[in-house]
Amino acid sequence: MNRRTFIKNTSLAAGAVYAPAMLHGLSSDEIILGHNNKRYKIDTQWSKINAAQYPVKDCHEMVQDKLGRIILLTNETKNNVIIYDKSGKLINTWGTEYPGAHGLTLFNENGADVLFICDNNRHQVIKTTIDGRVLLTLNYPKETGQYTKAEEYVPTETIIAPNGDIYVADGYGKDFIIQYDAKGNYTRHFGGRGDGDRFLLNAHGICIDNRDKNKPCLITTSRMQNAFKRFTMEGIYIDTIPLPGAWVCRPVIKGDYLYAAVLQTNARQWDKSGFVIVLDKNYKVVSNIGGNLPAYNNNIPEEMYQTIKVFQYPHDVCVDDEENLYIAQWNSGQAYPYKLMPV
Amino acid sequence: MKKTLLLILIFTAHYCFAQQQFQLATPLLKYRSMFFADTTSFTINFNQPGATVHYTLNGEEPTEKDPLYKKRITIAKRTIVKAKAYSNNFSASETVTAEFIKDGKKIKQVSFSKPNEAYSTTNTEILNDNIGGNMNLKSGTWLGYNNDTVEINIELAKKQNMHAVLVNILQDEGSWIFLPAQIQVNSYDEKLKAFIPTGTAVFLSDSVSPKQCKAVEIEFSKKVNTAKLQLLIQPLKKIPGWHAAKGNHAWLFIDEIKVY
Repeated sequence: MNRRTFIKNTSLAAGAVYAPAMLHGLSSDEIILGHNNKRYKIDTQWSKINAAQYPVKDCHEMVQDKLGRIILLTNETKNNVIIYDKSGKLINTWGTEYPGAHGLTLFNENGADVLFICDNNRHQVIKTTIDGRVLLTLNYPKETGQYTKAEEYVPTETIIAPNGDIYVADGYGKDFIIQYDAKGNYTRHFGGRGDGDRFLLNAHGICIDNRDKNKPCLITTSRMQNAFKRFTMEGIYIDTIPLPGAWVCRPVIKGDYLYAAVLQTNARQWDKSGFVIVLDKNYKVVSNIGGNLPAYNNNIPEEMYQTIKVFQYPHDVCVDDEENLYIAQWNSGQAYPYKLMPV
Repeated sequence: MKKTLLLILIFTAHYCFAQQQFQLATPLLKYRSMFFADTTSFTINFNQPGATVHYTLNGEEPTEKDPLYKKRITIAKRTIVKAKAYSNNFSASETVTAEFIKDGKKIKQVSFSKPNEAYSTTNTEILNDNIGGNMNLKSGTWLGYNNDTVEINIELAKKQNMHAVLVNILQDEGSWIFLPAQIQVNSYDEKLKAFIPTGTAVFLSDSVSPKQCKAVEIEFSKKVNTAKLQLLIQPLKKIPGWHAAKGNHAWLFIDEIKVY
C-alpha cells in the first residue's frame, strides 16, 4: 500500500465509522436550507430500504427515468443499481458487475430509456437497458493516441447528445473528453491536462447546456481548478465559470437552473465540508444549500465554504419532475440519499 | 390511562416528525501567515443568515458573551485566536483556533538538510520568511522529510543572549505527518569551538491528534550567549500501533523557526 492509496483508504475508514449527529430536537421550527428562490426542506430519512438487505457503499449518482422512478448507482456490487419511487420506497435493484460504478447518465433513445455507467475499476463505459441488459461497452480509447493501457483511463461521466453522440469524461484518468458517435465509433477528443484555459484538471463531470436552443454547448467539470469550463459541441473551448473554493462534481441542468454537488471545499479538504450549489441561466450562483450566502466581487464569486453540516461529501444532484432534489454522497458512512423539497 | 396513551402518542409523533438538528460548520479564519514582524491581521468568514461569530484573543473557549466578530482584527503581539459560530436554528460550531507568532531575535540565515524532493524548495529563507501556518501540506511553505536526523543550522545577526527556540510543525496524521520523536538544541561555544547541548524536547504520539500546526517552543536549560544554534530533529521512525500505517516511517513537516 503506498501513501496515496493509504490516505484514500483511511479517509474511507473514517467515513465508515462516522454516524451523523441526529439529535432530534423537539422544536417544530422547520429548518430551511439554501438561498433566494432555491430554498429547501430536507428529509435525511427519505430512503425506506433495509440497509442489511440492500447495502450501499459510495452513492455516486442518481437520475430519474421517464416513469418518474429515481435510479441510484452505487459501487456496492450486491446491488449496483437501486430503483426507488419518489417517496423512497424500493422498486427494484440490479447489477453485480460494476465494482467501480461511478457515473450514471440516462438517455431517451427513440422512446426507450437507456443508461450509461462509467466504471472506474473496469476502465469502461457500459450502456445498458433500464433493467440492466448490456447494449454496448466502450473500452479505453486507443484511437486517441493518448493511452497505452486500460489502467490510464478512469472514466467518471458521460453525456449523450440528442443525435446520440456519446461524450465521456476521463475524470480520474487523463482528463480528456472523448467523443463517439451513437454506435461507439471514436470521433475526437479534447481537454486533457496542460497549462491554459482549455485544459482540465479532474474532469469529473460533463453535461449539455441547451437552455439556449440556438447555441447548445458542453459544460465540463474541472474540479481541482474549482470551475466549470464550457466547450462547443465540437470541443472548442468557450470560457470558464470560476467557482472559488468549490470542488464541483457534475453539472446537472433542469429548467433554467444548473445544480451541482460540491464534494468539499478548498478551505477544509477531506473534512466533510461539502454542500450543494445552484447557478442561474447566467451561471451566477444563487443558492448554496448548506453553504455560505453567495456573494460576488467583480463578477466572480467570493470563496465558497460550508456553513451547516448537512452533508459530508455530496457527489451528485438529481432533480425530479417536481423540482425535488436527491443528493447522493461519496464516502459518507454508507448514507442513503437525502431528499430536498422546495419551499 | 387514555390520557397517558394520548400523551405518549403525541410525543412519539412529535419526536418522529420534528426536524433534525444540524450543527454549524466551523467558521473560516483567514490570514496571510501565522508569523509576523510588527503587526498582522485576520478576518473570519461565515456568511450564514441568522448566525453570529464570537471570538476570544486570550486562548479561552469563546461563548456567546464574548465579542461579536464584525470586521478585520489587527494584532501586534503573540496571540491565540479562538472563534465559534452560533445560531438559534443550529447547534454551535466547533471552535477554530489559530496562534499568531511574532518575530524574536533577528535571524541572518537558516540552513537545513535536504528535504524529500516532493516537499523541497529553492527558497533559502523558507524557515525564516514569516510565511507559514497553513495546514495544506502542498502549499509550498513546508519542508517535508521522511529520513532520519534533520539538521538545521541557525545563524543570528549577532552574538547575543537567548533562551528558547520555536519550531512550527504540522500534525496531519492522516497523511502520515507526525511530531518528531525528539528535538535536540545545541548552541555554539566559541571557547570550545564546538556545539554543546542546550535543550531537548521529546514528543509522544501515543494517541490521535487533530490536524493542526503545532508551534513547539523549546526552553534552554540555561540562557546562552551565542550567534549560532543547531537543531537535530529525529522524525518518528515508526508510526505507532494505533495508526493504520503502523511501523512505517513517519513524515516531518516544518515551516518556520524563531529564536527568543
